[in-house]
Amino acid sequence: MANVACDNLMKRYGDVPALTDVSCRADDRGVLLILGPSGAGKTTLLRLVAGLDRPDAGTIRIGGAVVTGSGRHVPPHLRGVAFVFQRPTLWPHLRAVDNVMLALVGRRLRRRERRRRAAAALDRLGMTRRARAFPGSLSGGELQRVSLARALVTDPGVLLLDEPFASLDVELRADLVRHLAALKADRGVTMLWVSHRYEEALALADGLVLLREGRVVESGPVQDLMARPTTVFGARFLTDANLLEAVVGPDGRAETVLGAVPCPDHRPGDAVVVAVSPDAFLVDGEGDLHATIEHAEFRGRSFACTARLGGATLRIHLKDRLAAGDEVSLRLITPPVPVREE
Amino acid sequence: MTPDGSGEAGRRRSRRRRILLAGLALVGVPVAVGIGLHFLRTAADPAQVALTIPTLGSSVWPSGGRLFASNLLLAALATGMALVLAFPVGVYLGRRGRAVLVALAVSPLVIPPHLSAYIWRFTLEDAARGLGAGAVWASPQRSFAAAAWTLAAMYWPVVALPVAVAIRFCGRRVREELATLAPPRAVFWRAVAPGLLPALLGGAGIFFLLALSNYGVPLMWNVPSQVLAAFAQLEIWRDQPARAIPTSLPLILTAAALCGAGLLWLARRPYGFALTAGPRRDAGPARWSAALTVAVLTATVAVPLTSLATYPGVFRPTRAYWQPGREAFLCGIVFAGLGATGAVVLGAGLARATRRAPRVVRGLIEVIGLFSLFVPAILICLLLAAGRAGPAWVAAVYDSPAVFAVAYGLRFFYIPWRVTRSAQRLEGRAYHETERMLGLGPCRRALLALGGALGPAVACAWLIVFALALGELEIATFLAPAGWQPLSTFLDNQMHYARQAGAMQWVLIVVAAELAVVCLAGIAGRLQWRTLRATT
Repeated sequence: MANVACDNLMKRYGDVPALTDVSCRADDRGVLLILGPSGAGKTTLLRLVAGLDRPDAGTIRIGGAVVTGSGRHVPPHLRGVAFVFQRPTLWPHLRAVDNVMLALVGRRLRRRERRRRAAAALDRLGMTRRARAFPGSLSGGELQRVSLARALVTDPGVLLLDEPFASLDVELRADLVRHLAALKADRGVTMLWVSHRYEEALALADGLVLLREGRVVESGPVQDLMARPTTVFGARFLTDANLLEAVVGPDGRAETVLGAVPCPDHRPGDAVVVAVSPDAFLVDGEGDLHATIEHAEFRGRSFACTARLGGATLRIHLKDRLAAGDEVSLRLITPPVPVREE
Repeated sequence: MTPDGSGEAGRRRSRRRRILLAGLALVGVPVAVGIGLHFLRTAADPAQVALTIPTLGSSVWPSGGRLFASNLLLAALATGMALVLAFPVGVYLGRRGRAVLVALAVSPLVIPPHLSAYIWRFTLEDAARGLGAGAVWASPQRSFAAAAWTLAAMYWPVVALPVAVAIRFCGRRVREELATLAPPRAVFWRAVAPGLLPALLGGAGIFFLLALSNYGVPLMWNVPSQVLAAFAQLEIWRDQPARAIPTSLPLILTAAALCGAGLLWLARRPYGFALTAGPRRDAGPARWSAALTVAVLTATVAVPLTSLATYPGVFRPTRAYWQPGREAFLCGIVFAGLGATGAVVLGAGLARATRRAPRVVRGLIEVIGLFSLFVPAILICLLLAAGRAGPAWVAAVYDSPAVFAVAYGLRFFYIPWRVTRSAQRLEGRAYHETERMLGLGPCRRALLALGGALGPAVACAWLIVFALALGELEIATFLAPAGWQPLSTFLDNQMHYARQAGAMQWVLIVVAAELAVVCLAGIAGRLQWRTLRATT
């Protein structure tokens, strides 16, 4: 069991609050995706879990045991966690295999056994042929794979990933995500994954925590949150949603240009914000939403359009080739949801 | 904090002042203690009491202050000459300089000062003979001018190199922006040159300090100097080194005041106003500075080296001088090796230990390091000579080669400290945290740092200190234990007794050795650059 539980974590750097009352859970063998804009506290959260920093208050449990809090602070290397940094930290004078072996120095293993394990870890990541290369001659993707091998060679229960693929190109990122998926399936490592480009992480993630200015704005199962964000910030950050202001009617529904939206958590007369994702529209001759395209630009896989619809301006992503001035009939494939100010 | 941040700026200023004052106090207190000891010792001896107070003035100001005035005048004249030589070269190196030119420009610094003085002495004598001027250097005025020229020709790179760095890092963007508004000459003199002022004055300050505390040049040219008087006092009062303090006091205090003023001035005017411009070479014309650069390099590098290489019999070893010279050379290598190791252990160790220390601690070490690098060597000699006058076991330690590890360690620790700090800054925090995550012990961490990111930097620093220590004269002469004679002292004696023929071959060997060591340091520096490029 290597579930991670953080409760009420507080951390300040001088006068600046980095984390305020942050709680989150990563299930055993699960992948928790930690998202947020720059300065939200994502890396700070990861560093607290790793034990590199101490929180001002709060508790961290790994596998049910308190590793930080209640006067306890287990050193980083005794927590059963491994950290992969954004920039690979390989010692330039050591070969790839020796860099991986470094992680086993405190394990009272014979050198031959350490080498065997390091070679096996590199092999799992497809680095056998480059095991004797020095870091200076490795590419960005290879460096990150060696870092990953070093992190995994000790069989950690928890793997902490701090934007590990941020500086890699699309293909390398996809390749490494495949390796991580295999690791998750084979060895059941619990992962906390901080990422800016979260699209690739969504494939693996079970849970999601969205941070803003050191506070948790959204948390929950990843598919639920992506489909139905609950806050204005979450809707904007996760799905780049259109936000429409409305008032809840006596029937408990808010009337918008997209139709009536049920608002079960609001009382009649309340002002409400309704979010709808740009991907929620489809051009359909029988659609009941009639819009005029004001601007359209090609984005590779779809057209990003600005459309005028019943007095509101919406951002919508469509597969169809459109130009400014086109009249289209649209159909909603994902219903709008009411969201709250966080 | 005030809205414009002036409160923060004020706090920074006061913190700098505190660091500076603490640094100066750390240096000033031992000196004050030394003077106190001087009085106590003489007071305990009734025969000396009568001499103490009346003679204190003449101890501080031998010859009524004329020596110190001569010292200051020599340093000022040499600084003026150096500014004239260095400015065009600095501008050219900064705008168009390639690695070979930079190496050539550094080469005058590689030759030990006293050897450079010897070389210039016979070079100028040859020239004078060639012109039929005979014993022209017997004139004190001409000797004085020759000594100033020798200092300028030796140390001008310390002015030129900061100018080159400043112009390379901060001049280009300003020039390009102003190029549309004014002709290039006006842009240079009105916009770029004022921006170079901190580098120029910083370099000139360092030059002045080096010239003020130089021992070999006034000795070689028979120029009256407080430095010579101070060392003479130390030689006379070997058993009571505290007595030599008063004579060296004006030098030490002047150096301290200059260091302090320079640091405060530089702190107020941040060095390098547009680091983002990056080190790039200019494409524009630089004919006037190119011509002057060639002239300066010819006059200060090619002429003395040619003169040395063509000295009669320099390639034919004289048997009578070969054996003692070889012993002295080995002795010099031992002292320099011990000194370089001491400096690296102290400097790199301090840099490593204070990696996470508060800024005030690192600032303090910075001030002390700079001061000990530029303070007249007499201070270090005085501090360590005092150990010889202590109890027998202390005296035994201070009268052994081990004293050089301490002496050169104190003198040069700033170099490994600075090099290691720079390398560490580039090494980044992530490595430190990876070490923690992997649970590596302190020994393994140190080995990883030395073998990895810091290894070439530390090797480079060791080699630079070795080169400096190998050619150092004052400390080598006055702290050498009985029965040990380093090469610097050997050569000094040879020249003193006019045995030039025997000495010149060893001068050539030392110059070649110094150049080889500096080349190795350059290779280590290059390796460091490649190492860091691989990790960043």
